[in-house]
Amino acid sequence: MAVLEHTGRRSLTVDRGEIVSVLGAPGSGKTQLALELAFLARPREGEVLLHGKPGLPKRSMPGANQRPREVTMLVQNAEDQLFARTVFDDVAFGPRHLNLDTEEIDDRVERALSAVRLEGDVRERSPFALSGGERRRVALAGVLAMEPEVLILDEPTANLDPRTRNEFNAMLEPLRHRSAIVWFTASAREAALADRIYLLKDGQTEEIGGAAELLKNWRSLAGAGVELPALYELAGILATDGYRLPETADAAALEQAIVHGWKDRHDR
Amino acid sequence: MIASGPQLLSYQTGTSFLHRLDPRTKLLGAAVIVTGVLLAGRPSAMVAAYLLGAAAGLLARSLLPALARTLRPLVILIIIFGIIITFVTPGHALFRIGPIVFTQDGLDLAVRLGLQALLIVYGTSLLTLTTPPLSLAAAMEWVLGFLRWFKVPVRDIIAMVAIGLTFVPLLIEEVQKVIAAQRARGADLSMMSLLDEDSMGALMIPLLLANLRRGEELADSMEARLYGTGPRSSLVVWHWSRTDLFTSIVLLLTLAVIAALAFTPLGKF
Repeated sequence: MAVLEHTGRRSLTVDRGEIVSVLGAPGSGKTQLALELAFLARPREGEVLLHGKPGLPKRSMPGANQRPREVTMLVQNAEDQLFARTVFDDVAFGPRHLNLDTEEIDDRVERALSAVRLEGDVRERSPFALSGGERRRVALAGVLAMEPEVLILDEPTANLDPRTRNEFNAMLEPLRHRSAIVWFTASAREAALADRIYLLKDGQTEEIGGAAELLKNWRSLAGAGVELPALYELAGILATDGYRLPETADAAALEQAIVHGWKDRHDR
Repeated sequence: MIASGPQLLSYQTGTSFLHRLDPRTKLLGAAVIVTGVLLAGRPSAMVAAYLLGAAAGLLARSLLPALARTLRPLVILIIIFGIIITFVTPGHALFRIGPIVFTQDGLDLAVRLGLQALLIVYGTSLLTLTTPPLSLAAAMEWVLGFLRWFKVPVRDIIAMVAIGLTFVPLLIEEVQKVIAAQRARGADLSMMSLLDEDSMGALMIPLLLANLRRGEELADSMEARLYGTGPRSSLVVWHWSRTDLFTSIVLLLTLAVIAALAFTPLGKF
């Protein structure tokens, strides 16, 4: 049975040890779906099931916090939510709400910080003295320290520079041994790093086998505003500009068609 | 992001009588309602103040459902505080439940304060619902214009007020965002937990930082467009119509009637 499941038009499942990505253009409803999966918003349609059971009581009293602790979420631009005096305190903020003893909290913070490769004296520094990328990593550590069964990531690399972005992505892969991961992104390249890919479009999800399968749809993806690898991005622009390009997603064939199209236009 | 209901204070487009009125007249109207109800120590004066409020409401009928929704939480709050006031005020005992004594004086005070609070919020909401923040700021600038002779930087103060009003919906959105983010990492940000220092910081510090950042960006972008480099002309061309004159006279007369009912033997029955 899936650890976490969304039913309805935006159905998706995620299992233990799995990284699943949800690819959607800006404005496709990624954040809403992410909040629903993390039990931070009531589903607009469908239901969210944790281990096959509804995660929220049917009607909750205002103010009562009955959100399951098994699911945590890294919100967009999560570094904006840091507040504590030291990195350690910030990462320990979540675990302190779990009534753990001090040693256990200490262990968890240590493990979380080393998972995001922030070691040494960083823990005693102020989060506001760190760089943007480092602060994003502190925020991720804060979520990891909850040791959730499912981790929801809402565009974890948004607004990071390309190098930090790649570092961040490389850090996510080993996390699958701790939590099942649902990774929301607008970039096809990032989505392709997951085991399974869902495409979120027009309020519906569609499961796509893998990266190769995904790029077959490059025409519609380019039109929808999803970030594609450069070649497909270019093909998308040229196709709307009247270039005749084949339906194939094969990179070599596409490249050749673009080169030929260019020659035809400019050699005349 | 989490819950988007009708937002307090935010302008609703429309073409009602109140919408068309000069913002300065509306400002006067809100001032009359607020002063009137604060003066109204007697039931007769209170009735007169409420009649004025009702008349103003009828001139923007389409807004009343939205207004009622905004006021509902306030009514609940007023009732709760009313009950508390009724038994903490000493005086002639009305009835008792165990050791708690409810007094007549407390009841009188609770009813008066409750009615005053309700009408003040109602009157000022009518103003902000029917007046775009920038017109409202311009009207305030006009009214406070005389302070310029005392070297008060009226225009800058008003610009700050206007920006503040415009950013209220954004601030609400920001609060909801921070709450969701902190709950996502295990915080219990219910009303009770706000008493705990750690949770309070988790809410207030990101909020404060976000607003400082926004303020800084806004200042930069305004200065990039040469704000504050020279004398400014006014964007607003005032149209003081006959309706405005008539409305203002009615407003001032009503205020006089309320004052008369409150302070002279006329209102004593």
